[in-house]
Amino acid sequence: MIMSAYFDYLSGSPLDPRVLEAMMPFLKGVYGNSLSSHALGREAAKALKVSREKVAAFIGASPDEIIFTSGEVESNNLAVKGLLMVHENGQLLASAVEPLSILRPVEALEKWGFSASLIPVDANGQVRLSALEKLINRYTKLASVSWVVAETGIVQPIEAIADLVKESTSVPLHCDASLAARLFPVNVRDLNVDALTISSEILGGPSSVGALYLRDGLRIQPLLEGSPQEMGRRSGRENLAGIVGFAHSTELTISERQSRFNKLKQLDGYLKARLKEIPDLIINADLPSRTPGILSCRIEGLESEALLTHFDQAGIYASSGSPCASMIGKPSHVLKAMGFADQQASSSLNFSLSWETKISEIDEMIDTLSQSVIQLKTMTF
Amino acid sequence: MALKYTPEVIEHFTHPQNVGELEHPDATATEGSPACGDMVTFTIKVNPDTHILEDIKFRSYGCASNIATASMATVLSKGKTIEEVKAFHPKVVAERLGGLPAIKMHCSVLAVNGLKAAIKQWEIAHGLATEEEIQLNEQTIRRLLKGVINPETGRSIVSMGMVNYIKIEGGKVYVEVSLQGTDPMYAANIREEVTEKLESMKCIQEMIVRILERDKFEMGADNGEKTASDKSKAMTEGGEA
Amino acid sequence: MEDRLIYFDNNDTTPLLDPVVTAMLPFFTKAFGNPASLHQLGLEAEEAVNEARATISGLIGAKPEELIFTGSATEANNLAILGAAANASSKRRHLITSKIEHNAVINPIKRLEKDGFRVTWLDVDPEGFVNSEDLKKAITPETFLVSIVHGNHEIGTVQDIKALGMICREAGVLFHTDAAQSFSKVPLNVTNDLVDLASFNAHKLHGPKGIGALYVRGGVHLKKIMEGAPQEFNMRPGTENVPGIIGFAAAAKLAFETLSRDSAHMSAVRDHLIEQLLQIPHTRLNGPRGNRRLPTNADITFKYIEGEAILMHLSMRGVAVSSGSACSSKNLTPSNVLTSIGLKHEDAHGSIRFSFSKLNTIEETDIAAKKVIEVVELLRSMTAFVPEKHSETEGSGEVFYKKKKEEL
Repeated sequence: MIMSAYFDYLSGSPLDPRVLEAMMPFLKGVYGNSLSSHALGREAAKALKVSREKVAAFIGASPDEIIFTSGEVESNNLAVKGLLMVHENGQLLASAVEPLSILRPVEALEKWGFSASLIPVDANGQVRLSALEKLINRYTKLASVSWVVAETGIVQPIEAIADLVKESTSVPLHCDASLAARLFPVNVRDLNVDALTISSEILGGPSSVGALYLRDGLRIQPLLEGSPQEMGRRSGRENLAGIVGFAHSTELTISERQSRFNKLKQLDGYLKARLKEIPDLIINADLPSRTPGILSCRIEGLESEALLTHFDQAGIYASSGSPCASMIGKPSHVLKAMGFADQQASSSLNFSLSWETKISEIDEMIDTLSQSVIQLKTMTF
Repeated sequence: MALKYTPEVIEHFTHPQNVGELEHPDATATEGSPACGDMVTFTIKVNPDTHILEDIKFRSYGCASNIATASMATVLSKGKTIEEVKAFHPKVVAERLGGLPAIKMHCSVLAVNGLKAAIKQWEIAHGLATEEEIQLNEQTIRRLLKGVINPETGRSIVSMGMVNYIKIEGGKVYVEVSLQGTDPMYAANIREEVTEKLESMKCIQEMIVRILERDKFEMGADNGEKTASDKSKAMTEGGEA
Repeated sequence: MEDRLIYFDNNDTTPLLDPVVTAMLPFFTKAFGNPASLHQLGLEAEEAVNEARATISGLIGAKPEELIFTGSATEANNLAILGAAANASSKRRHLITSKIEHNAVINPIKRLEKDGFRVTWLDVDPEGFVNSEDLKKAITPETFLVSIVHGNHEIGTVQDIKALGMICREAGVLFHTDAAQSFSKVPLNVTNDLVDLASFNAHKLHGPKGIGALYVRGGVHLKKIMEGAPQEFNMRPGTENVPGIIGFAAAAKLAFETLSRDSAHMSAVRDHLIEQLLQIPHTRLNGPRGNRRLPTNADITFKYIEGEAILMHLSMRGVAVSSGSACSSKNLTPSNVLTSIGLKHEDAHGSIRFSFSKLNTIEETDIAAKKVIEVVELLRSMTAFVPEKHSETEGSGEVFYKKKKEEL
């Protein structure tokens, strides 16, 4: 099967060859342990230290505030569970459009006796600030809101959320900035967040590497215990090659962010314009604050699974909902939280682009899409 | 732990100065213990007229920092008067080495204390100081016990607040140390070091050192009750004299 | 610095082999699909992961669906222990482990102890073996889990896993073993050896870092320690580390192809070095000899000198080793393994671990042994540790009473 167009960059992205080059010495050469004292160990420790400084600089944190993890899912689990479990009880708040790696730990905590409330969102998927204000009380121990929502690409007013949370309380705020970091400069001090998730793959770095920023002084219960890697906050041998690649991808992101953003904006505009040629196609939550390159749309009355089958046969890769959501086989919780009916949600298609995406890929996809729509519509009643 | 050492530390570790022991030293002193993995012995010669420390050598049992700080201490003190040396601060040794990792700062304390202890011995032998000048009171005992390091933190048992209680009755001293979560396997070492420190005060005739395991150690209640002879069968001996 | 580094720290980590890197590379740049995606690129990734899973599970006598990929052996240990505890009934709040476990087992268990679980820490004999009678006696109706390391990371002791597994199976207690060090070095068949849970990783067998696995026998239930999407049979969320998994399988396959030859070779290298080093006076081998010891491990105590100083000097002479000394650990405490087999603290401080891979040679041990002799002589010539004075530094009992002797 030859791939002719790929629109699933949120699920899986290729490694930037320049990043792979930076990783190669660590895949092949330096194999010491950062905790051991001999020369190789020191070399590994040095590479780890430099990488930590780069990742810290990427989000305006200090190096000691960075905990390397196996990716977004672990960072989110560590933030939510780790920050709650230092307390005996209490309440936590998370937006209703958080990824599963936030919502599922929240459910687990509920079973362990914590209380949880989902912060409702409006029809565009943005957190309702007034609702958040009402939900915060003196039992609140953590609030967690993603900066950019997967699937729809909607940007949350994270600073307003931080202000609201910080004004009345000392509640720590966690933010999953995995998607945001690809396009926005991130500075944890300016954002006034206490914990922040970033991940490597979406930046062009290797998969299965990420980090959690944890504000200095904030107590956390580790998820994984063992040897004292990551200052005792995350045990397990560091994925050194992965971490080096992650750090390099943050550097590349800083220097190329503007051009990538411009490229994505241009591609996104073209994609949107071409999608409009499809009759009855509606773009979900098409706000000015949608980040370019992440787009969700629906053709009412058509099952997205059927469209995806056509796509697959033509070597076009997109998704319905997040890949994780498709594993569960339920309509997207994000769209449902925005007030979509099950049927509307299950007719939604997601396109995620990269700055490497080509106009010809979009054209190819639109051709297939329009044919499929015609074909499928004749079969529905 | 991949510790970053400065070039100065590496230089003194690989080429330590004044290693060994003087043949007829005027005074000798040892600080630290093998159980803690850190020990240094100084032998010195002092000119009785000028009070100049004319020669000094050291032996070390310990890590790279231990060797380097002891070496630097000899370099810094040789040719100085004992009054000058007594004014040394451990930080000076560490600074001259371009700094030490935080976890190794106690090494510089060990070196400087060892050096000062040797000078003290010399002063006593020359009637310039007596043990009796140290008043037997809680404060002096606390100061003495500041030299006992908690091996889990590298800090003194006094500053860690582990010295619970000190009672003095004439020449009798009772000291109570609480482990406060420190692994009880260190109880024997801490007790030994406390005892050693107290023994250095001649005016103490009798002592009771009590170690309290406030927090029962997680590794099981029967920890450390085996006898040493049972254990020595444990290993295959190789060339053991 | 020597021309070529002699790397004797393979119990810590091993270099990636070229064929392993080659196997991984396409999954970084070309086949980068998410196995959860329904399209072709995702399916390709899923197939590759399935194949890798079948390879590794086949090597340990398990079924593919019994193997969960994790981010490390540490994570696998945490998942096994914390996951079993969370799933245990409220009446079963007791678990058993040994005193020579790795931190990745000790620390999750200590966390459970804090949470109110009762823990029996089994003693080991002087060679580091757990006594199966001790284990049998320790099991109570409340016991839900026994966790005993297969091959010890410091002194190389290889437990009789089947004997321990049998006791647990008969008692109806889950049996977990940390097989991170032993995997691909000594035989382990989870089915025949009656193991319920076993932890593995890739970087000890020339595979990549950041990837591990937990074997979970069919029918054994654990609670997850991370939540998210239902990857890894709904036991471990997060998009699979596809290049890591491929590298893990490639490394395991390579290792098993030449397992018996490599084991014999490493044992020969090990024994050759042990023999030479024990010629040095005042040394001892920690742990057993022969095939009850990992072929990759030699742990030697050099009395009267300190491990970090030995390690640093060896490092400068181009030999990489690790030490059981307090100075190599963060909190200045000597290794729990060495003190548990009865070493005095001062002997634990002077212990050095030499650990091998199939890449090491007899020649290297000859060179290394010469350098060790040189370093030991150098450090002993300047040691402050006078043996007679400190022959017995250990005491026991809570209260110590001493009459000061005038002559001291």
